[in-house]
Amino acid sequence: MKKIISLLLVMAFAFSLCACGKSKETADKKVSTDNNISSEKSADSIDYDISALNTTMAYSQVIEMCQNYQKYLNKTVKITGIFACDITDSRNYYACQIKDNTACCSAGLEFVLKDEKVYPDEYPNVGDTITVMGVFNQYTEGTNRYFELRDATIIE
Amino acid sequence: MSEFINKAIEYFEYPFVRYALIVGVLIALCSSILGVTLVLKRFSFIGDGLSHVAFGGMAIASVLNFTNDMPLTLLFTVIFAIVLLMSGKNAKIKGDAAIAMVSVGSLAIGYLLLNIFNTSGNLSGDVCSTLFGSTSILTLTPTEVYLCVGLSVFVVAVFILLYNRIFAVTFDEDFSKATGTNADFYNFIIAIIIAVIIVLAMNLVGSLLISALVIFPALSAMRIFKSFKSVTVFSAVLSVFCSLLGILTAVFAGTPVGSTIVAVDIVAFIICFAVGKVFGGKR
Repeated sequence: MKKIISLLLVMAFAFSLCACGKSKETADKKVSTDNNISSEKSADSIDYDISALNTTMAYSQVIEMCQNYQKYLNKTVKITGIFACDITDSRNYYACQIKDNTACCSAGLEFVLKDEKVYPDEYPNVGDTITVMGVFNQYTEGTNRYFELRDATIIE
Repeated sequence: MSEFINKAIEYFEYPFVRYALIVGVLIALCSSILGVTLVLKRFSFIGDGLSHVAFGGMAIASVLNFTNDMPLTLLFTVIFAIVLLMSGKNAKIKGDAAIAMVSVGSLAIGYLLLNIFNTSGNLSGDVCSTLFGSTSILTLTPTEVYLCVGLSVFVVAVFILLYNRIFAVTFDEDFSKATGTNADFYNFIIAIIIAVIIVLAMNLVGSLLISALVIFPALSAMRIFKSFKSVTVFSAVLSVFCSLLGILTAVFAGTPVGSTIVAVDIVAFIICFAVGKVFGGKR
């Protein structure tokens, strides 16, 4: 009898933890609402200010945005990271990268500036710390999906 | 203080933080309750060995371009857990030697395969992330969380239902066999459970630090308590607390999650050691 009660308690504990996920949508709406409230206060109307987070949270949030991108489409995102670029024959790709706290992995977002600029003269140096703000967007090339901040501006 | 509380409330609204806390608590709970059995059976380092086997399994899955590497990783880990734990006293290569051989062999072959058949754009990052956990616990998908919850419930349920048998097999396997207990079967169950926990725990602390989750709570509890039940319960409570504290510290301070959890476990061990010395341990 004791074992059955213990077992039921364990299952109740496990399922009560699962129930936390039911408030995900409410929490996300609240986060969005809170961010919108904060954006109403600021002139920049930022929905997700990743630049305010520490490395661990910022890296995780970028991964979350890529995993559940539908929730973040067309939201204004502000991110601080390292400037990186990839020069190809067809086009140049510019990105703001965040390294995780072990510095072995990085996650980032590509950005496309609102105002056309010439590389490398009007872009930061590769490896510089930059803060970029833009609208989260996704696009496909071939069979791959990519994510970017369109209409972006480099704040600092 | 209010600023800290506001920040905490803000951080808890990120879904990946909630997922990390749920999975972290469950993994800490499962690893600690089995850790007592492993420490008493002198298999403390099996967590390390099996985690390296899991790394090898993950490498093979990656080379074969599996979308989800967990099934193959779990399969390899279960097989080697059974081989290591059920080899018994008549094995030609015993205990620590067998674990060491399997451990370094899997690590070397796994890394070799990843280098030769590299399918990732960031090999060193993937390897480092697997070995140290990095922020894996903070990048879980809901499916992974549900899988972890299911497996954790399975592990805890099996432990509770088979508690007396596991106790008997842990302390005196020969006597258990002599009294008619099918010790081989229960060793087989323990091996499977350990393999499941190891594969789950790789997400939390990485391959290299898994042993800490298994060993430290059990050893800390043994400094204070003497009975098997007391040690197991205290080990579970302590492990969950340390895991929670470690994850929250890592989230707020921006430190690596796995290392932070192990650091908290070490501090807890020191405190329990001191308490045990001062109060002499409770029977």
